[in-house]
Amino acid sequence: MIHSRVNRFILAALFFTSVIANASHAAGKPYHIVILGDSLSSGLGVEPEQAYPSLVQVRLKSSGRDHIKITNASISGSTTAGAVSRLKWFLRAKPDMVILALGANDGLRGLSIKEMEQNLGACIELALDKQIKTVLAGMKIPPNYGQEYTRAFETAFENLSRTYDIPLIPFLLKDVAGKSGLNQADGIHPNADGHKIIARTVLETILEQL
Amino acid sequence: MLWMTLGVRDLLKNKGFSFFFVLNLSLGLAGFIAIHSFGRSLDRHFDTNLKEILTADLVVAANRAIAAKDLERINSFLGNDYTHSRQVSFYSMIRTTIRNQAHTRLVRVMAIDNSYPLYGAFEMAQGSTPTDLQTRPYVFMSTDTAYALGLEPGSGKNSTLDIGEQAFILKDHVVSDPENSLTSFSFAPRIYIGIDQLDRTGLIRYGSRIWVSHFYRLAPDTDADQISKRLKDRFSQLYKDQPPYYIYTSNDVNRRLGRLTRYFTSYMGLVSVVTLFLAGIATAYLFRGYLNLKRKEMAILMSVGGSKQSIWFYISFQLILLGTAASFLATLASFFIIPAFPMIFKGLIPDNVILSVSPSALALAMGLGMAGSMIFCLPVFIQIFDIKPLMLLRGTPDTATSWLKQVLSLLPGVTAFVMISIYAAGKLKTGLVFVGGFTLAIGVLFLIGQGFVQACKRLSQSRTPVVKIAFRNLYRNQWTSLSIFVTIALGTFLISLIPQVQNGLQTEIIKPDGLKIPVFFLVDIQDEQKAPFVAFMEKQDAIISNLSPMVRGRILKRNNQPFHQRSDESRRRRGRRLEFNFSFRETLDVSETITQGDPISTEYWDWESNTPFDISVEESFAKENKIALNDILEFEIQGIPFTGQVKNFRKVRWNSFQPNFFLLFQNGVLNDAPKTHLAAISQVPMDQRQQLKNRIVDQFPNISVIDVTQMANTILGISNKLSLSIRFMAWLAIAAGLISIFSIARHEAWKNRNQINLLKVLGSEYPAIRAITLIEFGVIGFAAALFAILLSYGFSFGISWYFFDNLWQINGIISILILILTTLICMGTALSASRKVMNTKPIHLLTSGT
Repeated sequence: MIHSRVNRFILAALFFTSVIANASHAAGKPYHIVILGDSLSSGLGVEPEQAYPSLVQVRLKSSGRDHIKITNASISGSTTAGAVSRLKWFLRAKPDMVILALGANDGLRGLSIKEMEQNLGACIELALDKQIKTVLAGMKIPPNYGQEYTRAFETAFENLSRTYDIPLIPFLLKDVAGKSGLNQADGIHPNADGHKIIARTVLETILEQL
Repeated sequence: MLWMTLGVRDLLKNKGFSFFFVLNLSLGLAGFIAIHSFGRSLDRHFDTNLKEILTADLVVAANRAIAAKDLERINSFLGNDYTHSRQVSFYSMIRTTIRNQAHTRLVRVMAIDNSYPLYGAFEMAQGSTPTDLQTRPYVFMSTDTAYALGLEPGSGKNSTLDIGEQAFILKDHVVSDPENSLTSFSFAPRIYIGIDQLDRTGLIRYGSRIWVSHFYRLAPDTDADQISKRLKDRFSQLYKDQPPYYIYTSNDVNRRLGRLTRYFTSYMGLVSVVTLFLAGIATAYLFRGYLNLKRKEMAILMSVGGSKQSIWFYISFQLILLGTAASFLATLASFFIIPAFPMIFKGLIPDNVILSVSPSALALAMGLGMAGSMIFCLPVFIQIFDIKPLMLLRGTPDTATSWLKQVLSLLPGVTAFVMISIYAAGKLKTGLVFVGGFTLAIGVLFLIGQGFVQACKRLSQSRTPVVKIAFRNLYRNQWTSLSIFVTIALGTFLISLIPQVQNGLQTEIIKPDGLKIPVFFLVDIQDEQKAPFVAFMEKQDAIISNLSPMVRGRILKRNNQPFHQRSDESRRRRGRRLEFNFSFRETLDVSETITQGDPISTEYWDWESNTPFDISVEESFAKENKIALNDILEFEIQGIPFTGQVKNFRKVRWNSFQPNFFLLFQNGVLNDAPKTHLAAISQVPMDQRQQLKNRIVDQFPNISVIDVTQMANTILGISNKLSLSIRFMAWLAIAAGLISIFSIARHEAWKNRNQINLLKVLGSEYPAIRAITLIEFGVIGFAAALFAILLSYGFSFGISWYFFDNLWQINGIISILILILTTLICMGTALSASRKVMNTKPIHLLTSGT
C-alpha cells in the first residue's frame, strides 16, 4: 500500500516536472552543443544511437531540456592537428558550447605533446574568441608508453584548462578504460555499456555549465 | 596364360606400332605429370612463403594475456605434435641520450622468446640469435632505426636506450626480420627484446595496451584452417559471440595476398583438370583407336570359336601392357625433366622453387595408363561383342547395342573421371563445374562437328579433283571425321581455355602500368598543410603521388532503408563498421577503372540544387553491401546529411599501394568539409629514406610516416612470382595440349595410311596424294581448332566470372598461335605419314594387319 502511494507520488512528480520542463523549453532559446572528438566520441564499433553524444542528447531530452541540441562532430582517427579547421566548419552552425574531446590519437601515435597543446590551445582560443563556452575532455595514455610521456600527456590537459580557465572533464574514459566488460575486443574503444558511463560523466559537466 | 603369350608375341611382332603407341601415350602422360608436379611444387612454395610471413601455421592473439584455461583449450585442439612461441608487442616512447641530449621516440617493442620465429629466421649483421636477448637487456633493431635513434651497436654510451624503467643495449642490427607487418600498418619501427626482460621495463601493468600473440607450428599436413575454424566456433560459444581472441592462419595473413593465392589455387585447379582431360582424351582416343584396329582380328577369333571373355582378356592384356609401358616411360622421363626445369626455363619460372615430381601425379598417370584401357574401352568392347563377327568383318557400323547398355558401359569411365577431376581441381564444386562444362563442350562440339561433315559434303562438289577427293573422303568417312574433329576440337578447346583466364589474372596481379611503387605512406596531412607539404616535397629527391583528400562519415540509408555493413564473424567480433572514408578526385588513378555505369559528373555540385550528387562505388564494396547502380545513398558527414546516387562501379587494383577509397563523390560535395589528406611517396633513393622520413617528421610533426617498402616488396615479390608461374603454367599446358593433339593426329594419320596406299595403288602421283592428305587434315585441324577457340572464349568467360571475379581478357595472339599450331601439327603429321606410305611397298602395307 505504502509502495503504491510512493509510486503514485513519483509519477505525479515526474509529470509535474515534465510539464514545467516543456513549458520552459517552449519559452527557452535553442542551445547547441558540438562535440569535437575522435573515435571514442564518434562511437566506432557501436550504433550511432549507442554512442555517448546520442545518449547525452536522449537524457537531456528526457529531463525536459529538449531545446538543447547536440551535434556529434567526431571523426575516428583524428588528431588535434585538424581541430581548428574542424571547429571553423562548425562555427557555421553557431554552437553555444563546444566539448573538445581530442588528443587520444596524438598520444597513441607518440606525437609531440607540445604540438598537441598548441593545437588544442589554438582551438580553445578560437572558440573563446567566438564566445563559445568550451569544455576540455581530459585523456590518459596507456602506461606502456612510459611514465614520462604518459605523465606529460595527462598534465597537458590540466595545463590547458588552467591557462584558458575552462572546465575540464579530468578523464573522459573514467570508470571505463581498462575494463574488458565495458570495452570492445580491441580493448580501447568503449562498447555500448561503456558509452553509457561516459554519457553520465559528460552529462554531469554539461549540466554544471548550463 | 596362352592369351598372354599370344598378346606379347603379337605386340613384339608389330614392334613399330607398339613403340609408336607407347611413345604417343607417354607424351600425353608426361605432360600431365609435369604440369601437376609443377603446380604442386609452386603451391608448396607459396604456402611456405605465407607461413614465413606469418611465422607460424596458426596464431591466436589478443590485447591481453590469454587465460590459462583458454590456452589449455587451444592446446587440446592441436594434438601433441606442435611447437609454440609467445610474443608480446606494444608501442612505447623510448628514450636515448645522444651527446648529452635526451630524445624520445615512438617504437613498437616486440618481446620475443627463444622459439621465435617458428618459420623463417632473423638475418643479423653479427649473427646474434633470439637466445641472446633473454639473459641480458639487449635489443635488436634495423640499421635505419638505429640511425634514426642515433644508436650504434656495442657497449659505448651511444648503444643504450631506455625502455620504461630499464636501460637496454643495442646488441646487433637486424638485416632482415621475420615479421613482415603485412597484417597491419605500423606507425613506428620495430625493436626486439627478450620476453624474459619484459617485467624489468615496468611497462606492462593495468591499463597497458599490449598485443599478445601465441604462434603455433603444427605437424605437417595438419589442416590449420580447419583448426582455426573450430577454435573460432568454440570461443564464440564460450564468449557469447564476442570472443576476445583473434585467430588466423597463413591464408588470412594479408587480404591482397590471400586473394591472389586463392586465384592461383583455383587457376592451378583449372590447369590440372585441363591437363588431366587432355591426357584422358589422348589416352582414351589411343586405346579406342587401338581397339577399332583390332576389330577384324577379334572377329576372326570369335569366328574360330574364341570365347568373348578370352578375347576381351587377350586385347585388354595387350592394352594394359602398352599402357603400363607408357606410364613407366612417362614417369622415368618426368624424374629427369622436372628437376631440370629451373635450369631449362631460367628466368621463366620463379627462383628458389624446389621442383619435385608429385606422387599424386604419378599415381594418377599410372592409373590412367594401366587401368584407363579397362574404363575407356568398355563401351567399344560392348559394341563389338554385340555384333555378329560377319558384320565386323564387313566393317558395318555398330548399331546393335541398346541405348541403356551403351549408357551403362560409359558409367565407370564417367564416374572415374568425375572423381579424378574433383581430386585434381582440389574442390568438389570446382571439379563438378569443370566436368559439367566439359560435358557441355563435348555436346556443342559434336553438333558443330556434324555441321562440319555436312559442309564437307557441299565442298566435295568442287571441280578441282584433289579438293573433291579430300572433302569426299571427309564426308564419306563421316564417323571417323566426326571423331577426329571432336577430339582435336576438345584438345584445342581445353588448351585455349587457359590463356584467356591467364591473361585476365595476370593483368590483375602485375602492377599497373605507370604505377610508382611507394616507399612511404603518409597519413593525417591537414588541409592547411597541403600546400606547404607539396612545396616541401618539391625540394626533396622523391615523388609525391596521389595526394588524396579524405573525409570520414557514415552511410545512414540505402534506398530509404537503414544501411548495415555485412556482419560476418570477424566484424561481429571487432564491432560493426559504420564509418567510412570518402574522397573525391578529378581523374581516376591508374589503378582504377570503371566497370559499370558512367563516369561521375565533373561539374561542381551545387548544395542548393536539392539533387543527389554522383557517387562512384568500388565494386567489391558494392557487391558486399548489395549496392546497385542508381541506388540512393544517404550520408551523415560531420553532422550534416547528404544524399547521393550511385553512378558507377569502379574496380580498384589493390596491389597498386595507392590511397584508394570505397566511395568517391562528385566534385563540390566534400571540398569544404574538414578533411585530412593521404599521400604516397615513391622513388626515394635507398640511402636517403631515413633522412627524408626525419625531415618530414621534423617539418610536419603531426604527419605519420609509414614505411611500406618491406610490405610493398613482399607483396610485389609474391605477386610477381605468381604472375610468372601463371604464365609458365599456361605455356606448359599449351605445350602439353599440343603434344596430345600431335599424338592423336599422328595416330589418325597412321590409321589413314591404307587409304593413301589405295590411292598409290590406283596410280596417283605423290604430289596429288600429298595435297589430298594436307587438305583433309588441314581442314579438319583448322575447323576444329577455330570452333574450339571460339567456344573456349565463352567458357573461359564463364570460368572467370565464377572463380576469378570476372578477371577475363581475350588473348588474341595466343589464340591465333594455337589455331596455326594445331593446323600445322595436323598437316605435318599427315604429311609425314603419307611420305612413309610412299616409301613403303603397297603389298607390305596390305599384309601388315593392323
